[in-house]
Amino acid sequence: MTTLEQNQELAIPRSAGPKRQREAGGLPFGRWAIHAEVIFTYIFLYAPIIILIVFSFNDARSSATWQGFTLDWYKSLLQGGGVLGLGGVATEGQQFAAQGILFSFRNSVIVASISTMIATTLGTLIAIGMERFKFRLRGILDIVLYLPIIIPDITMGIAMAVFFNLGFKVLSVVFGINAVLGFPTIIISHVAFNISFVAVVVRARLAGMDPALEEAAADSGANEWQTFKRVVLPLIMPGILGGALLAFTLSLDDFVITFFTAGIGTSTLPLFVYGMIKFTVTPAINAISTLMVIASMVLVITSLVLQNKR
Amino acid sequence: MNDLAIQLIDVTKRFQGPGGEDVLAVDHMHLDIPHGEFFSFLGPSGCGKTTTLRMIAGFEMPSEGQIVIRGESMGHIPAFKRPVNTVFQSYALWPHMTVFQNVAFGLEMAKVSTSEIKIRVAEALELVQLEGFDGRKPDQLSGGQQQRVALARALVQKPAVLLLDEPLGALDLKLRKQMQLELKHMQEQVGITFIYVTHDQEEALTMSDRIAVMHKGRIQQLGGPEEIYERPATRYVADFIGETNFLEGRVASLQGEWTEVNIGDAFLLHAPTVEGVTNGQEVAVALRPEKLTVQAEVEPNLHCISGTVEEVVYIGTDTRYIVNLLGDHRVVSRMQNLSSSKKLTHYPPGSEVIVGWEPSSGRILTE
Repeated sequence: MTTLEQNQELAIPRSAGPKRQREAGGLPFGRWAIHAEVIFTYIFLYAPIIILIVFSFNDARSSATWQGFTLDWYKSLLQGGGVLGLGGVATEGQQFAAQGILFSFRNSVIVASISTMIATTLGTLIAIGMERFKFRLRGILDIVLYLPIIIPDITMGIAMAVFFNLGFKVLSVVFGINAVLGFPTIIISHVAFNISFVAVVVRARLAGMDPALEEAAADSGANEWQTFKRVVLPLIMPGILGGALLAFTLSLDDFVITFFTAGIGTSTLPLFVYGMIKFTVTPAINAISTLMVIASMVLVITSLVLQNKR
Repeated sequence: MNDLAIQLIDVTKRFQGPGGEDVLAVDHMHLDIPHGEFFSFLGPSGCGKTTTLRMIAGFEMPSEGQIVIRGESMGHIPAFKRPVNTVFQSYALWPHMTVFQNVAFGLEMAKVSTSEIKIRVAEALELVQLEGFDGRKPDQLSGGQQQRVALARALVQKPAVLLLDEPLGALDLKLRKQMQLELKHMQEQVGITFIYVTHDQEEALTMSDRIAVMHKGRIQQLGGPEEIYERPATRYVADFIGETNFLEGRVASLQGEWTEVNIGDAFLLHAPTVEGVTNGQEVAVALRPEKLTVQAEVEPNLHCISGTVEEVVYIGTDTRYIVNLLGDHRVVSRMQNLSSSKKLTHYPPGSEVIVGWEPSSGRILTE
């Protein structure tokens, strides 16, 4: 069939418009400047992290000079040596510290998982509402939604602390309930800033979606719920997962806001590491930080890959 | 009444403009479309043709008036309950579904049994000549193939009316021409009413049984392709459909079936009388370029006006002459290049020529 063969040749890859990329500057200086900028950017961004990673393998206690390769600091994380240094039998205190690392890591995962689930659900619903419906105060919500992304963590942290403090007073005076800081307060505060990030990511996905795709579903006899389930949700799913991974990472890494909202026994990993530094600095800190950097990077890269998926 | 597929009764659509002002997209439209017709809305962007189609589909609700499909008033019945299907300009194929899933979706929603879905999807894909493409995803198809899937998806549901919103706009010229004929044949084969929206006059002329030429939310003229082209009702229609020469003048006398028009006191011509024309009225006489011949001698039975050739453009099938007629009236003539041995510069710029046409080719336009 000639027609089909012709059609085949005309196959145009979607979204494949030629990407315009200018060669770096026509002038020798322009080219040099761009190369220099790239190099300096990488140095600024990654030099401290690379030094951190390298020294997490340094066979020396609190030394800035390279003494040889070791995995002892990683081992010590599990044994408790991370706090008091290498060697010897682990003391009671060291074991306690080791438990502390695992315990705070567990706390971090609990907080991150629950806050991510809540933030992803709410953020996705907000994104759909903002992108597909017109309602009163929509313009204001649009601005308010970005606030947690813009305002400094310290402000958000203090605001949360004040808010909970006031809330607890109301609870105790009005209902006679004595509440304290703990998992619920950390989770609420993490949800509060993560909603914005999820909403922004999902909204970008929705905005890039041809509205005719939804109309076509309605045209084919699908009601609103069927259209959402069969067409909208599958198409924005990469955005939702990307937003969720981003939220999980931000929650896992957060220090400042958690600092103001955590209570006794609910220290997350970043809070515990901060506590360790106050006590003593050992390359074990480098080892923990390296693991956190790697975990975060894996999550963020996965998130970006998902967001860019067609 | 029952042989009508669609009725538009006094349908009006207002939108709120960017400054909060009302914009009239469709202006009190009345229209009856019988079953099995290939009907086109033709007009430039912003004329209200797509809005009309979207109101029939149920994506927009009319501000006033009624839309009746197969004798049933649609009122505020939502899109998903209407017996119409749409082929979208962007095709709107669901990228996460295969060709089969795309075509089967509507049948699934209608709770058709799995075995029947298989049969009907296969039939639909055969109709659009895409057998064997079931398992592909839309992004593995060419533009033309995606277009066929969109057609199959709409036709498989056996709608009372198929709505097509500039479906060929994204295809290249050759494929578009081929698809025009295929669509026409397909429509005759399935017998479904097609309502087609396009800004391409040639497309509308090629495929339609009837055409509504739209301008600013109103139907300017409604008629068959030949009627629209040969006997345009208004200046707007004559100008929009094809190329037209307008000779401005005043009615000199009414002589039964002929009207005499004085063209700027330079010459008189006759054209068929049209309804509503009055003596002394300011009118324009529309003349299609292909109806004008450029020649050396005066010929009997033709209107012959002398003029000077200003420009000659060779465009392959035709040669275009721009001639300045007596009294400074510039007209375009298209002469078919019937023989390749004839010299193109038969009448070079500057030469004195006669422009002739049959008096019946002139069309008097009063508005």
